[in-house]
Amino acid sequence: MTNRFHLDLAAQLREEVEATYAATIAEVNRLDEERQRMYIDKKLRSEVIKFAVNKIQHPPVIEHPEEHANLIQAIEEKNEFDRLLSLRDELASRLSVPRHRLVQAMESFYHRLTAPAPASESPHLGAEIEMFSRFFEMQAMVKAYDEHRGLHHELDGARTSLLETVKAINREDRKFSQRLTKNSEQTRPLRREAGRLRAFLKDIPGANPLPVPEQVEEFTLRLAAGNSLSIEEFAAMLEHGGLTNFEDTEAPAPTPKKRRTSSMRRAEPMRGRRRQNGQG
Amino acid sequence: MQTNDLLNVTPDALVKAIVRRRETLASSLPKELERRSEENDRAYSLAKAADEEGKANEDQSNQIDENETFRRRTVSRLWSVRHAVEDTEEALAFWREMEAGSWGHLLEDAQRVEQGGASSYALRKKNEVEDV
Repeated sequence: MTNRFHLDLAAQLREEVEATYAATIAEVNRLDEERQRMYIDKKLRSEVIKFAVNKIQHPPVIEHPEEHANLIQAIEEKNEFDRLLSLRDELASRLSVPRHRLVQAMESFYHRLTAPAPASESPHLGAEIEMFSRFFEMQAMVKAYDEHRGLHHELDGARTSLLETVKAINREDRKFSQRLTKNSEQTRPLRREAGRLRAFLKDIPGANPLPVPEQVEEFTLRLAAGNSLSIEEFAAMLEHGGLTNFEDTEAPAPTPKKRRTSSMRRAEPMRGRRRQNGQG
Repeated sequence: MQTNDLLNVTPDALVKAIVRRRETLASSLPKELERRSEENDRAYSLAKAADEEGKANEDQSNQIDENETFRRRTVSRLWSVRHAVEDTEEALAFWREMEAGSWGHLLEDAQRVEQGGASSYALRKKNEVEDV
C-alpha cells in the first residue's frame, strides 16, 4: 500500500524517481559546498577588515586574488597607509618641534639678533652665537617640513580611501549574509524532498538509495571556516554532545564517611569559632 | 617678517645684520659709559659727604643710607656698561671674523638636519629619555 506522502511517486518508474533523487542530492551537495565557500569568504572579509582597522598585524593569505579584487585593494591600501604613517612618525621624531613653533622661534631670534636695542637688553655674544646656530637649524627643519608637505595630504587621502574600501567590503558582507540565509532556505525543502524520495525508494525491492548527506549545522560550517562561536551556540553544542566527553566514566570515588558527632553541645567555650552544623 | 623671508635669510646676511647692530650699539656705548661714570662720581662724592656729616650729626643716618644705596646702584650700572663695552668689542671681533665666511662650525646642526639627521631638539629629547 502506497504511503499517502508518496502518491505522486507511485505512478512514476523507479528509474525516474532514482534520477530525481540523485539530482536532488546533487543540488543539496552543491548548496552545502556553496555555503561552506561563502563562510570561508566571509571569514576572509572579516580578517581583511580586522587588518585594515589594525586589530591584527598580518593580512590573511588570499589564495584566489582574482576573485577578491576589493580585498586585495584593501590590503594594498592599508600597507600604503602604514608606510605613509611611519614616514610621518619618522619625520615628527626626527624634527621633534612643530613647524609653527619653529617659525615663531625663528622670528623671535631674527628680531633679537638684528633689531637695535639698548645695551641692557642686547644679547651677549654667547647667546648670539647660540641663536645664530639655532636659527639656521630651524630654517633647515622648516624646509624639511615643507618638503614633506604633501605627506599629510597623501596620508589623509590614503585614510579616506581605505575607509571607503572597508565600507564597501562591509556592504558586500551584508549582502553575503543575505545570500547565506537564502542558501539555507533553499536547502531545507530540498533535503525534505530528498528524504521523501529515499523513503519511497527504500520500500521498493532492489532499490538501494544512497543516504541523504548529513545536514551540516551552520556553526559547524562556520567553525570549519575558522570563525568563532557565540556562547549560545557553544552551549547548544555541549547539550547535543558535540564535544568529546573528557570526563572520567568510572564511578566517582565514594566520599569518606563523616564521623558522627555528638548531638550534645560541647561544654568548651567557642573562643571566636562559629558554631558548626551538627554540633548542637 | 613672513616665513618665506625667514627661509631666505642667508648666514652671510645675518652676520652682516648682527655686525651692523653691534656697531650701532658700540657707537652709543662711549657716551653711555661717560654718563654712568659721571653719575657714579657724583654718587660717590655725595655718599662721602653724607658720611662725614653723619659722623658729626647722628640724625643724618637716613640720608647716609639713601646716598649709599644710590652709589651702589650707580656702580652696578657703570659695571653693566663696562661689560657691554667689553662684550661688544669681543662680539664685533668675532662677527667680523665670521663675515669672512668662517661660520661653518655654527651650522653643523643645520647641516645634519639637511642631510636627513635628527634635530638637536630631537637628540636632546632622546638623551633625556635614555637618562630616565
